[in-house]
Amino acid sequence: METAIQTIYLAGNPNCGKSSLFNLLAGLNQKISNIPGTTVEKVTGRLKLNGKSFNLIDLPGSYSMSAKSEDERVASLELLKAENAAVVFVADATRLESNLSYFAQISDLGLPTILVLNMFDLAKSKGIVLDVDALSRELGVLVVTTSARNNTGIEKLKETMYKLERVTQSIFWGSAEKTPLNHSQVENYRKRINSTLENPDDETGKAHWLQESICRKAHIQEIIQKVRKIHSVPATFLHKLDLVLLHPIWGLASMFTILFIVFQAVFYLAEWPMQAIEWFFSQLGYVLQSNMPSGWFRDILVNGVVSGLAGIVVFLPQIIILFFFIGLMEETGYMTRVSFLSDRFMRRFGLNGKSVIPLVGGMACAIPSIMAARSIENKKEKLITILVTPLMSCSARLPVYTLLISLLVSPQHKIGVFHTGGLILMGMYILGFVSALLFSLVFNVFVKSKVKDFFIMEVPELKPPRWQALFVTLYTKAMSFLMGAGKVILTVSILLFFLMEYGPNQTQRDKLKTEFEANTNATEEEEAFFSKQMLETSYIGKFGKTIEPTITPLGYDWKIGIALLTSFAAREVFVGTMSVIYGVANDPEGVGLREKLRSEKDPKTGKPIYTIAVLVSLMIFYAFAMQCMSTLAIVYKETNSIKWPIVQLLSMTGTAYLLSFIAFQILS
Amino acid sequence: MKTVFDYKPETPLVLEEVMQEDLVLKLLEFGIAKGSEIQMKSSMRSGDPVIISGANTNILLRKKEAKLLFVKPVK
Repeated sequence: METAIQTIYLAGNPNCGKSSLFNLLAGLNQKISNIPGTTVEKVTGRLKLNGKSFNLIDLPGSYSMSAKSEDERVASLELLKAENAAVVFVADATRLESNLSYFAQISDLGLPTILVLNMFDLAKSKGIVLDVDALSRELGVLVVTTSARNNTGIEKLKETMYKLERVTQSIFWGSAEKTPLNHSQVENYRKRINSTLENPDDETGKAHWLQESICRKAHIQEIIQKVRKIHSVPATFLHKLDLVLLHPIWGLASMFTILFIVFQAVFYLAEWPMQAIEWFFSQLGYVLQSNMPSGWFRDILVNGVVSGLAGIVVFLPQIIILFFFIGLMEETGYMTRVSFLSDRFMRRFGLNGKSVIPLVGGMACAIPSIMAARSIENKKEKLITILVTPLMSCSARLPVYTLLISLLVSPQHKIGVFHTGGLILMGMYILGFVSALLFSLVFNVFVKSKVKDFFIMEVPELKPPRWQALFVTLYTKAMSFLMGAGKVILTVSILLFFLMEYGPNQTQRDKLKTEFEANTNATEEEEAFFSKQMLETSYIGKFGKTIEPTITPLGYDWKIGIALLTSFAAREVFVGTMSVIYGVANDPEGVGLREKLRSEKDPKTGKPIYTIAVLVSLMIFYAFAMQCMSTLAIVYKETNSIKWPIVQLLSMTGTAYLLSFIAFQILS
Repeated sequence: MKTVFDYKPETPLVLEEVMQEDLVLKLLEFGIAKGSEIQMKSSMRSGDPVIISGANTNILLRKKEAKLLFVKPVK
């Protein structure tokens, strides 16, 4: 039967190189959207073959049509509802048993399917010899060999994909004897999958599925024995390295060393580019201030937009370095080793080894990390992981910590050979991790689960990183952070500007302004007094003063109060808000926010505002407070309940208030 | 019957029996079934968790599940 194919699905196991292949086929012509009714991302692209255009869809990696995790369920449901569609099944040529088991399940859906043996070069280097023609004959499908890593076999794949319309499935693999595929068999099989997905714990369905899976496995094993020969090859450097990384003692020592190096690098390597960015924005503000005609447009541009942007762009180098290391750990397969090394420890807190991936990812951003918790099949462990991931020190906290640490110690200060700032920063990350574990212990007591589940995961081979893929991911994530945070910060900065420019008694403010402008010989003290009066009489000043009594016990003044409130939209807004309040961009001498805060004095006592007690209290507040609307939204979506984001907001922010209060009272 | 814990790591073993249906299904997803050759590749000091290699795939599982895999040495 020939069908007019409009959609081609790329399906396969996780870690088979499917997404790399998708990138090569679709190029930059891609769109990421959520699959309706879920939070699972669907990457779609357009592929032109001989003048005909197809929708290309990269499905989430899966091991089975009956799998329990949400990603895998979505992949199955997409394939079940597919119409006028074909499948390009991507298999890792080094792991035929696992990959072909899933292939056989998809093949039985009756959709036109071709098999791609990816990582074919890697298979050869491991001494695996495959008779591709024989495999094609045995499976009754067209087989193409590729290496997405080396960009080989892609043109041949495109040629073969063009033939998909003429491909028909001929074998049903789910019965004891290989039988020709027929319509009613396909319909029954599809119904059974649907029923298994709806009632995964139904014993009859499970028994039937087990029987079919055993049949498929037997057929696949028989074919593999015919088409594959494995020659022994000497152990590679990566194989030997893996033995060290998985060693119960050396593995743990390596893990702690690697994490230590990451935090030192984040602080040390980023110092120069950060100084350069700070200088650039102060010069930009000065140039705009000097060359533009005075008026509200100049003020909003210099004091609103440039100040706000300066506050966030300056931290981009650190965020890029952190994303680079996290990406490197994921790309090489090291993150799974961390799961192995940490599972037993994590279990004591109601988590599991798979929780490490969202938790480490949470150091970059809680939002994708919470979504990554979908791979955890155990519902209770998944929920606890979601609830505690925002406690990990995300990249949005990094600008806040960096600013506060730079006020605590000089960037040049060292303890031995280590930068003190780097050590304090590492301490903040450890605090995030430890608090995540302690919160997990509490949630483990209160979250109930009736389902007993087990923990099992694939440990992919340790492999060299694909630098191109790593840098594309790095660029996408950095841009996504910059654009996402930039939008919020720009909006908040402009809003703040208006709230600072106007006040409830505007006539009195205008009079003050006229008097000050008339005084052409104003001293620095008079200028500072004028700025202070204008800020205090503005809407934002009044608002800050109103909330001041609630934050005074933590050591904060009303200006910090304003920054705390605005950063409930997103934590990094704290720095942008402080930049706007202290007018950093409008600063001809290039004195950055750090210097302004360092020289800030209490008008009543004349003592510095930013004492060690205030700085520590602020750092603790930011470590614990739930200050990210987007995270709360994603928790609501992932848990499908309003209860959990509320629990998260109250427990985290309540703890933040209490601990900041204790820290300030002790240190002051 | 013996489990992987009764043999030294890297000893080639044949999977004889798996004592839990869900675990059988999960292992099948990784291409491992009764009769497959497996070996323990690595384990933490307490033997929990372990990495078992089979069907050219390494899988991580906990001791209590690994104890449900009954094996015999490859002849």
